[in-house]
Amino acid sequence: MYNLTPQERKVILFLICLSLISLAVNYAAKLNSPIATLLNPGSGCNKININRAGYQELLDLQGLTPSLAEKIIEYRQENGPFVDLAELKKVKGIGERRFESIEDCLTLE
Amino acid sequence: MASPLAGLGIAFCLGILLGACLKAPVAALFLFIFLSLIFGIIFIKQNTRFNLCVLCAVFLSGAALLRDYQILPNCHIAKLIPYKSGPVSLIGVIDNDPLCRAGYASFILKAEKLGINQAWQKTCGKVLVKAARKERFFYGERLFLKGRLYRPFSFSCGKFNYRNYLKHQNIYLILSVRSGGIVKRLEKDAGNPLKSLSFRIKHRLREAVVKNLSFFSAGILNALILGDRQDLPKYLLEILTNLGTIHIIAISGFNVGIVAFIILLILKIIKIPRKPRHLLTILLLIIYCILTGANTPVVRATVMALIFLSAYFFKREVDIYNSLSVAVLIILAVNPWQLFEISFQLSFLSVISIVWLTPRIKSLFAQKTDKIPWLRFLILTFCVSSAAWIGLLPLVAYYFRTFTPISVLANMIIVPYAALITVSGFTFALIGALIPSFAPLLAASNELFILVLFKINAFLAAVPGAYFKLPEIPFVYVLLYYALLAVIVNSPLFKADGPIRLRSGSTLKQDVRRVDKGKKLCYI
Repeated sequence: MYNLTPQERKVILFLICLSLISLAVNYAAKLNSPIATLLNPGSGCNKININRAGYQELLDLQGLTPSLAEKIIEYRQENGPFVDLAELKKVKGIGERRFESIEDCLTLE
Repeated sequence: MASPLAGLGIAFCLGILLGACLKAPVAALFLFIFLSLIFGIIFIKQNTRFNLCVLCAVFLSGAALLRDYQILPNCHIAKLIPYKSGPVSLIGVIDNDPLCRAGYASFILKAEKLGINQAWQKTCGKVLVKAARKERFFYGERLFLKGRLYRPFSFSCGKFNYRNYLKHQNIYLILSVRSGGIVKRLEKDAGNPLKSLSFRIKHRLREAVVKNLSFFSAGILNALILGDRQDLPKYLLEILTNLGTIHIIAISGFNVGIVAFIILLILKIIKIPRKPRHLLTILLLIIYCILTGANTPVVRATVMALIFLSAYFFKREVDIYNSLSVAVLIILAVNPWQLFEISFQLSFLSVISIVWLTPRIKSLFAQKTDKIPWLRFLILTFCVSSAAWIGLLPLVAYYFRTFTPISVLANMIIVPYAALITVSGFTFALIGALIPSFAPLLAASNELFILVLFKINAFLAAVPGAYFKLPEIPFVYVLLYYALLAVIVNSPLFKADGPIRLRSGSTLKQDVRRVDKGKKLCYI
């Protein structure tokens, strides 16, 4: 068997401990969505400025398709910046339900 | 014990096997690991009991890791797709070097957003994309695709099962984009910059080879140096499989060793000091590993090479079983399914067989033969080739149903010759990529070398009794063979000179001095 020094033994125990915690957290995140959101703040909703957001930023919004992102940019270029968030509903393809699903992730500031 | 990590590696593998066979609840496994840790802390001053607790914890960690791996996260694309789905939209980033043939492209896509009936949701996981498109795709491109998603068919060929093969790579779905389907490029370079650089280097090298060699030779050389088998003639692949020399075109330790040697030599010629030279070689080997696809054999060989090279910085002797165990632990920690892959088993078993059996077979020859250089080389080549053949015999028979007595002779001839082709081919590809006008000068010699390689292979394959096809073999026979082999090899007939030890970055004189001082030698 191995002849390890006390320090080496402590290091091994620490490494196994660390692996166990990682495995347990990973397992919990898979079973429970709130834990996953807590661990990965990026997966939650970060507010983006609708007047400055580029194509890619708009695409990152859950519920927006590439064609809708293009239409928002076109609308902005034609009519100038959005004055109110509700103005988004004037973009063809964004109805009440879709607007509600993305409203919380948008800002004008 | 000189190889402490070997025990941990074996315990981890056995744990993964347990996880696959026994559907134990993950929470229970966590509890047992926790208990093993508690007992480890209690028995920290008692050698045997502490070791048993650690082995137990590592064994259970293997089982817990595989069980955890089998559970997909809620956002995984495989969980969001109904059993029979219509056309879907998908946004994701290309995660490998796409395979592009005439009118057809195939690549792995890291899914980001999934759209079913205009409803979009964030997702994760990988999808294999098969697109009927003429244009070329590149790693790191963010795409918008519209096609049909389906689960891979579970067709089998011998012991190979396509669905399991993809599952072991974490791919549960295939996206088929027909010629009328939509493929839009949203962004370039959205992937890892190091991976992107590696694939760009690969394309430059491949172009240099394809431009200057015939289609046949370019296909073989690309397989030999870049692991790119897409243009390899099928009949040659069959010959190499039957001869047991297929490993020369599967990028493995053989190729990584040669590439490391070439890099070290070039850096030495241009007078780079030893420490930066080793560091640069480490970096370039990582790039080489990525550009060849980072398959299990190449990752194994790269990890071992990195340990060997870094041993110089720590002034330590390398124990090959320890470095092999590190490679096992790294590969399986990232993806425990790899344990069940043929390439993983063949790669590790071949190295273990060579290291374990070569000194024992060599002990059968008289020591006088060591004094004649050419005879020593011939005997060593025979011993290495026989060791690999004996070690892999039952696995090759089990998976491929072939028995290849010609393999020992074929490897004795083809391996040294393939080393020459790899060196010349790599030099040719490098020069072709850097100074294209010089490439035609080296092309003819490479054509000749490859043609001779093909002729040797064809000649050996035509030898009567070179290989036999076998009926199906039960796995118990494989285990019995290895048990019998262990008994025979440990008998007094075989007397090993000692395990093969690799020394890194120091001259023999320095090593002898270190042994004399009796202080600094220990094992990584």
